[in-house]
Amino acid sequence: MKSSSLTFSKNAEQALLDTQLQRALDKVGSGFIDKRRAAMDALPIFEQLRHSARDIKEHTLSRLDEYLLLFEQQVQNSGGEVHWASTPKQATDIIVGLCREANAKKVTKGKTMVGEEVGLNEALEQAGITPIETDLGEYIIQLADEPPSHIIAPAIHKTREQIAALFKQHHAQYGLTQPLETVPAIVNEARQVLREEFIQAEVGITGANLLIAETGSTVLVTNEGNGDLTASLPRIHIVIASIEKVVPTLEDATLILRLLARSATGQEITSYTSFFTGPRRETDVDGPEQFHVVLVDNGRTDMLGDEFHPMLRCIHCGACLNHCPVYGAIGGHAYGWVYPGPMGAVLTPLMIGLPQAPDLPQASTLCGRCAEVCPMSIPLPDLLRQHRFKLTEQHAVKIKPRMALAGWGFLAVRPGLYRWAMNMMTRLLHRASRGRGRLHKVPFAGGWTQSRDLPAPQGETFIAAWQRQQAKRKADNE
Amino acid sequence: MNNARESILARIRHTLHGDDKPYTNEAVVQQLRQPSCGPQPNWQEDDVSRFISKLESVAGSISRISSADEVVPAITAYLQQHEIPLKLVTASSNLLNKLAWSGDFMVEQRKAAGTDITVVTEAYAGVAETGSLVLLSGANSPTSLNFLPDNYLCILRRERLVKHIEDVWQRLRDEHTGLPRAINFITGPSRTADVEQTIQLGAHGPRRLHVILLE
Repeated sequence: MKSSSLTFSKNAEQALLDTQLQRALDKVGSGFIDKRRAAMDALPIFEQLRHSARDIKEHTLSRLDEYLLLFEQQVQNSGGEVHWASTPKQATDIIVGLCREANAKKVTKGKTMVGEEVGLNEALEQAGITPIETDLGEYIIQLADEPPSHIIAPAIHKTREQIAALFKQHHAQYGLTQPLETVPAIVNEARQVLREEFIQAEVGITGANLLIAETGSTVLVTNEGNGDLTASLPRIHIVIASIEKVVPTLEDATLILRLLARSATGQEITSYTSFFTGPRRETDVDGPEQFHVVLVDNGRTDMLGDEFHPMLRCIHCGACLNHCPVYGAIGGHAYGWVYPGPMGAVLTPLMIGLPQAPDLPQASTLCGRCAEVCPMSIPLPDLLRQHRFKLTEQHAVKIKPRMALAGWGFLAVRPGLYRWAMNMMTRLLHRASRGRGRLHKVPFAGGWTQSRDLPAPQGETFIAAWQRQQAKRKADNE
Repeated sequence: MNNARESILARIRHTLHGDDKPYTNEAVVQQLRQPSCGPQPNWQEDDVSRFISKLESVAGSISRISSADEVVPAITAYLQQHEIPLKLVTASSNLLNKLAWSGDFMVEQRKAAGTDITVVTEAYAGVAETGSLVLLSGANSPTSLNFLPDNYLCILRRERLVKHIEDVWQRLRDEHTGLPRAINFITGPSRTADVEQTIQLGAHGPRRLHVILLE
């Protein structure tokens, strides 16, 4: 997929001024956060699970070669085939090849983030094969010709009205022209249109939330049932998955699943959690005749054992996005590539190169909420800081922040001067706010105040207020 | 064919072991021989109550019956209550095959088609922890039945209800050699929240899910 991460600042600015987007983000509100909170409150063993989950992943990563080989062997034993891809191109070549062999003109797809990562839809289209996204959110953004803006809720940036307009435009060919005003009407129309596609498709492509070495199974978690229809109805089922998805046993997978749905949507388990092992058996009356798993590296072996290694524990639950104040303000598209939010700000520079996404590691206040909610205990702020160190080493930090930081550094080691400067600044800003408590415009901070007000200081610094109060208390006591 | 497999494995081995020789470690074999259960959720109430409360919390419904003779009346009552035609596609099982459907029913045993309205299956297991039904693909139990119809009715025998998800794995290891093509954990009807985070049932799979618990 093409990236626009290089223009992050501009993207973010546009996002803040996009009223439709801001309305959609407003509607998201604190839904994900509240639901996750409730699920965690009902699960006293959350911290224990979190520790065990990290241990499982670290154990697996420490023997990744062996577990991948065992997985491969077990897929083969159950009648399936494993393909390996180092690069996005290799991954899409394999899948296009399989589709061509099957003479497929149309393929149905379940949601796959690694599919987005390798540009699978573009590759299929170039080969004359039509990919049909079946997850409702993915289907909506496919009609809109946009990338997903959230890893579990791809169309979170779209309002109901926008979706209705898209359906009107694209469904007229099926004779569906009635206005869609309600959510049920929208969902029903998508169900109706996609039902035929499920039944006609020759190939179904899904992602995998986990791979199980013990059995050679791939695990798929959905709520809509689209993933299962994609996996079960066509003649060929292709699973695309990145190599770090493997875990040793069914029990290990179960433990991680307990964290996944709760962290993502606050559900204890999704409506459908399915384990696929090989193609249909001889006596089965349905299911695919062929089962292929495409294992994708795409830079992950480079992360193994280096400072970004903890990122390989990520299970793509989206909790860090949902809890990120920056993501909440600008949505996912501003990040410019497949993965948005804190996990995206770590992954994107690793996958497309830091020079292609130099602003992403800076797009964080390092408030730490992401690390706090991460079910796999990934220290996201630390990883963002690692990127920042690299940027500094490469002299890639822009002139303005560099000068600002140099100025701040100069003051910070001169406490007397620092206090004097703060005092001046506090008074000036207070006076400029004329008692309204906020500022619409501040010189040199136009970027900040363009889409929000700066809270104005109350007129004195903390130290001054403290000294005044201490003096008053002393006087009162005397 | 590319050499991606060898290059990926070599890179991993180089990082992990400092060389690119293949390793087979006893620890891996051990891990698989004795799969260990991590922490599991616990609850106060009995397993049936837990199963029902979890099922109902995800918009599933339930009829409780005490003999196989009551299956058909329970299904009839459910279908009539929701004004669903008495036309069914069913899976095959000892229990399902013995049901005495009245003349008002049209019943077929086959895999599902896109236009089927109502399906009846029998679950391999139920999970009290989550209120889930577990269905295995097989000659008698086509996977398409679980996802294509509007109304999904599933019979669960009490002795097939287990506490935790891991108990299903244990049963499978005891009762089967190797896993079937598909194991579906089904927890409530199909749903989506992709339009403005509003939950809507019946996205692509069943709109309704009803369990008949035979105790």
